[in-house]
Amino acid sequence: MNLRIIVAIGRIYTLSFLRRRQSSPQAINRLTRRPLIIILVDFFAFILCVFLGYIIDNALLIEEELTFIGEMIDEMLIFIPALLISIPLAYGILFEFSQAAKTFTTETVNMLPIRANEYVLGSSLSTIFILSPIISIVLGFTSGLVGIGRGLYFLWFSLLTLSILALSGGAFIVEIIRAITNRVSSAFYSRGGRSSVYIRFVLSVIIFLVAMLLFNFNFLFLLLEAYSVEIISAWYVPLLWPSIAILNLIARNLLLAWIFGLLFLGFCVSCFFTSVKLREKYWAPQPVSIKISSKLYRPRKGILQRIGYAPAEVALIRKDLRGLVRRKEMIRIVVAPLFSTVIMIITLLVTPQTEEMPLGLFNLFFLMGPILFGWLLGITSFGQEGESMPIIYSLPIGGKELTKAKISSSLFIALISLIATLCLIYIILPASSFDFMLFFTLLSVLLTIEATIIGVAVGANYPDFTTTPRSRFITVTGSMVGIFFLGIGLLIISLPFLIFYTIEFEAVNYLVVFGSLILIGLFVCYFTYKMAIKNTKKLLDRVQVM
Amino acid sequence: MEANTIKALELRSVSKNYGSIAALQGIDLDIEEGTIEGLLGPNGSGKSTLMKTIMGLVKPDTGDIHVLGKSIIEHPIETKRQIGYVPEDIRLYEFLTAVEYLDFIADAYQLDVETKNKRINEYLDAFGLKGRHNELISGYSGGMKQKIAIISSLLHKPRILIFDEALTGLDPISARIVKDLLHKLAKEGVTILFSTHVLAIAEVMCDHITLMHSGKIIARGQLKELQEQAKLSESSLEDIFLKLTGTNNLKAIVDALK
Repeated sequence: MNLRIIVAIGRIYTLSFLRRRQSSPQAINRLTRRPLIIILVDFFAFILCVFLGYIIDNALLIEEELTFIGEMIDEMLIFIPALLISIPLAYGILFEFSQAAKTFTTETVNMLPIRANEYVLGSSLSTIFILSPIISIVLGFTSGLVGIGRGLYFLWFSLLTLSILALSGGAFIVEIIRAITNRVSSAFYSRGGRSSVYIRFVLSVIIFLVAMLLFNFNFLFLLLEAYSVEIISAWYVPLLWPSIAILNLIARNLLLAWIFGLLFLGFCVSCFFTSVKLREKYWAPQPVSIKISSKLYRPRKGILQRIGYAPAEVALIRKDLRGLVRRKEMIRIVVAPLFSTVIMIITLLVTPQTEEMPLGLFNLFFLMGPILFGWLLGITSFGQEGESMPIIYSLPIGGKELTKAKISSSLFIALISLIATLCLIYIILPASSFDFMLFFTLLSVLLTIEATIIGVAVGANYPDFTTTPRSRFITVTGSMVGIFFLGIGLLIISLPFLIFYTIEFEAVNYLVVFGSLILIGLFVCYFTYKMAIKNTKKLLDRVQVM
Repeated sequence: MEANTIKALELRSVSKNYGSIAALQGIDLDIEEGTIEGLLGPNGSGKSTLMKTIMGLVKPDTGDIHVLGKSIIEHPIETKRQIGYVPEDIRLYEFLTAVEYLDFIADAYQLDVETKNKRINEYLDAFGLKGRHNELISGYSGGMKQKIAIISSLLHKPRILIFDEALTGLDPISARIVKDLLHKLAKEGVTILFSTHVLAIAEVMCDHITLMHSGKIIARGQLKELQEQAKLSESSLEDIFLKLTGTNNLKAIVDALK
């Protein structure tokens, strides 16, 4: 193992992260594009947090009424290392799955005489370095609170060691997932065929979801709470080992603290060796050529064309849907809403249901999945064209056609997810009446349509076409504007529902309720649709992309 | 009578600046229908910018461009329908197969099912891609991607073809097919504007040659006219190019590299 190579790999990946938004050659020299910025952030975060921790500790000593805050902080300290595992995981998975093929630097690394363990350590080093401000915050805060404030130096040191170990463990788990998903890719690529592409997509999504759930701290506690399991009793969950170690340390049970601390160290080391072995075994050095079908090319008129879509619109819809299942960087866009849907389903399943809790206003929350699907797919629909956007510009496609196609492809997926969600809601939470169910269904359809159109309208105005290791497809401003308008749009459409629900739903004439919902919903959707067309036309006008 | 006066391409005082860099400076250019116009010039002379401007991909700061009598600003969709374009840096949808990509392009140009079926199969066959048409483009070599880009520019039978370094990366057979095809299309009335750094190709293929340098047209005409402008009778296009672009003392440059 060569330390120089490990540092070099770590440096390359850190630079590629920092320069992902490089706009001009001069920008490379900016402080924000250099690793020094991370060290500076580390330093200032540490100083600030030491100060903050010390002030909080002093405040807790003076004000007796604040004891409950002190207890909360103690509990928080216990769970810091466990929480830290999920951070590199979330970061790493998002980074891995959002890498465009052309920025996939591991292909370059594969050509070089680098061992698997050097690669894993280098890559993990970069992940840890990029996330080091979090360590600085933990280190600073605990230095002020536990170290300087209370003089518990051994606890402080243990917390710090376990935190660094947790970050490393998370980084190694990311490497394992990378290797497994790569295995999924290469195994199915070599088989080829349309069904293989779908299976690969589904498998990647499942791996992504399972990893996010397994190492999601909140989810774990949701389960533990649902089954009334104490943290100390959950000794079989490796994620909780550092927390159990800290807990025992506070209880002055040093032997158990050491055992769980060492167990966690063993877990991290085994993660490292597993990731090295998997990389050695499953890394495909070259992209495999993928044969989708062996059929002859025989085009025919599709259903969409028969129902009135123009050929150009159908072509765009088909392209976008194919891209969604075939492009690695699109998986996270599918997974994000899916994750919230899965959490929702599990919440529904683990929460004891009673007859007093039928389908009602509160359940609007469960529509988050489909709404997010529509909004996310819509808002990224233009940016995901990336460097291929000039193809759209050079084709005779107008703003209206483009808008219609983008809305339709996003809505198609969102509506499928809505149907699944509604079926599930109606099975688990029966509606109080058929009319209410109809009303709820209509409302959810309108909300999903509106969320999608808002997404497309904002996406056309703030697209991010840059192809970087972590393309967002939408600018930061765009995301914020999108969230704002999503909130406004959904609120306006939900108004009839909210008003009539609060003034005793059953007593109101259903025709009035339905009528107002349809009128308001259609008006808002139409208005947003017109805005989307206007923005798309503006986008096609400002064509300076090449 | 009036129809005959319509030019395939008309550019009037077209200028484009990127900050302090003048990419195009007052370009005036008329190209007749059915001609093959070669666009030559050193790297960074403005050839690609000019082509993108004609395509409407880059907005000129000043000036006017008409494609077959129609302004590209006022009628962007109609003018795009008349043009087939192969950019210098090809960016295809790599997650599509060749056939899916070409099908997408054909639909964008609103070709009917029979026509696109016939043309796509014909072109795939001609360019030797038939056996690999169902593979993802991401697995293709640079030359194969180039072929797909060329086919996509030809599918809708455009009246104007703009090829920016389109022959680069093609194997000799495909390059020959493209060259012969361009001659055939020009005879049928298709106007072709293409840039290349291979001066021998330009010499053989082009009816007219436009020489660009620092965003300006420095010479234009048939080979004989260029020889006269450069005062190099019987000289090759390479000599004319070097003289007109001011690259005279090559020997000194090479010697300095030793």
